[in-house]
Amino acid sequence: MKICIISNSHLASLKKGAHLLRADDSVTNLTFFGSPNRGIARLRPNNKRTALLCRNERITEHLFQSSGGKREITLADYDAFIVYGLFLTIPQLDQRLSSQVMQQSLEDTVNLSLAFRTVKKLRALSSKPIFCSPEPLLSENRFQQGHKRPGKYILPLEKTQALIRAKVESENTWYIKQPHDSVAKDFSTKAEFGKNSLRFGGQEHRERDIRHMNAEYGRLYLKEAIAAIQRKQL
Amino acid sequence: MNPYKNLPVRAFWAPAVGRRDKMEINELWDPKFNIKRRHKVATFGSCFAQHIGRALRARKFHWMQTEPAPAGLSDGNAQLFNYEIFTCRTGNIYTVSLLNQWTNWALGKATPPGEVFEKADRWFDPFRPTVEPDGFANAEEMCRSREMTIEAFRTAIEEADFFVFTLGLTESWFNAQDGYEYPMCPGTAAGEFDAGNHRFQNQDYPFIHETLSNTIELMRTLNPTLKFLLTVSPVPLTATMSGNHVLTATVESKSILRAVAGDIAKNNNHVDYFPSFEIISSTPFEGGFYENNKRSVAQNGVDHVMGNFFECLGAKFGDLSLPTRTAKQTGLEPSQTDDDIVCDEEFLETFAPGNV
Repeated sequence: MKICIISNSHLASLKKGAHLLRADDSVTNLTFFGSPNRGIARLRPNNKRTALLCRNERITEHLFQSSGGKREITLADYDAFIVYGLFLTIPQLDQRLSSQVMQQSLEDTVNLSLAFRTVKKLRALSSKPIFCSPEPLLSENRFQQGHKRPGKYILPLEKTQALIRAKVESENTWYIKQPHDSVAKDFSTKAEFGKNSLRFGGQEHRERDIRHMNAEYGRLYLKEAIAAIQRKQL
Repeated sequence: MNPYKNLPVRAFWAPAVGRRDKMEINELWDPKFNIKRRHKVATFGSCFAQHIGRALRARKFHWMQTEPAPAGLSDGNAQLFNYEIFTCRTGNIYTVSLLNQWTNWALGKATPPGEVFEKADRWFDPFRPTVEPDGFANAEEMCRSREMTIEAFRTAIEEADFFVFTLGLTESWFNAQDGYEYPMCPGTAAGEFDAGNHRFQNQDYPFIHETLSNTIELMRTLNPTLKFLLTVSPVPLTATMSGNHVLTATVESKSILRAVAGDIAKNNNHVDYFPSFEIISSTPFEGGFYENNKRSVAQNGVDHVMGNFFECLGAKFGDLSLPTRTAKQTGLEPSQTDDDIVCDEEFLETFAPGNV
């Protein structure tokens, strides 16, 4: 099974994590395409509508480096696609909000994310399975940096995840959530997965980074994502 | 020798106004307080107050948002659901008695009544009738949402350094039986009018003065250092129940509000008055700051008012980093224009004879 993974700076932890997968986990051929920040937003279909590419040299170089030699995403080369991170986040929603406000917030969270815009570009060109995953929850280290904990009225994570899943899957896309074992309380990722977190180029982030995860997180995510994809019996 | 000889230029009509280009009339405000970018400023009141918050934010002042839009909600939808119009989602607070009502709820000295408005299986908040465009799914949802706003209003009082309030109306509607006030006459934006239970009151000077004074002191029991900046909306009434011509009613209403605001500012060290009303509506400006309907304030008017605001602050307190005003500076982000001003009172226009 050949899987294409498209992401931004969060790609680094997955790429490094792939090396940590055991041999029996690696029945899948993974190809990574990424560009930091919003570079992926500039992907466009080629004239034949068989691939996604970018005319910007810098971003094309990012694709080349991250994929190990490919300058465009040729859709026929893959059995499935994972769109990972790309500013799709899990919002903390106050339970006292009206149902309309809550629903609209979720709609906007998904629709306006670069992740979902990328999903739509893929879907316009291919009927192959597309999976979508949000960015990891922020590291629980952030509370030591003065970030506030979620208030008492915040909708539990599981319920918010369920609502995001419902929205994503209403658009002919499958949703893969963050690995359960990586989640800490208070809408956080366990601190151990943020230690030595990785930049797009593979270097480590500064210690204060709370968004990006390490290779072990990447391994855990990929293991669960591959299993979820295989369960779809592709 | 007489006492006039030592007065500054701005005390004389001819040199300060009569012989000047209207855009060069300046020194209109001698600020009491040095409002700095680090100060937390809460804004509430009538439609015109919305301009103040946006202008503060555009100039990097700390405009408080104690009920921010939920994460992920787009800017356009946030405005649709009345986020970031005022410091929290109270909707327009047109009268001082409404301000008093919200303050009593926020301080726990009174609880909101149980009345709800229902129409076509949707529920509307009598005290925020347009806060959600399609109303709420049920009464409980409406109450929970209002509780959030009351909590946010309390936070605004507690944490603000400055509370900016724009006085809008003297005409008001009350529940005759239980004495609470509606921001809009029931049956206009929402609800049904009941002549037996809905009482009109055109508030007079003594009532407004006493109510506003009491409300200010009530807020300061929660935040003793809170300072107030009062303004009067220059926007004329959309409609009047006074029996007078709407122009006459407007001038009477604004005159009363202006007199109250001026007197309270004069007699309290913690209250100041900013003359946005004069800048927009007084004769030297020849009505040039209104739109063609002679009611809505045009963007050049908003710019001129807020330009004066920041210029006078800078001139008094010597902060040279404050940008100088130009009539062309909008201070608004491209996505926000005066088309976006939320004005519940304009609903009344739909009931004017000849309107569809």
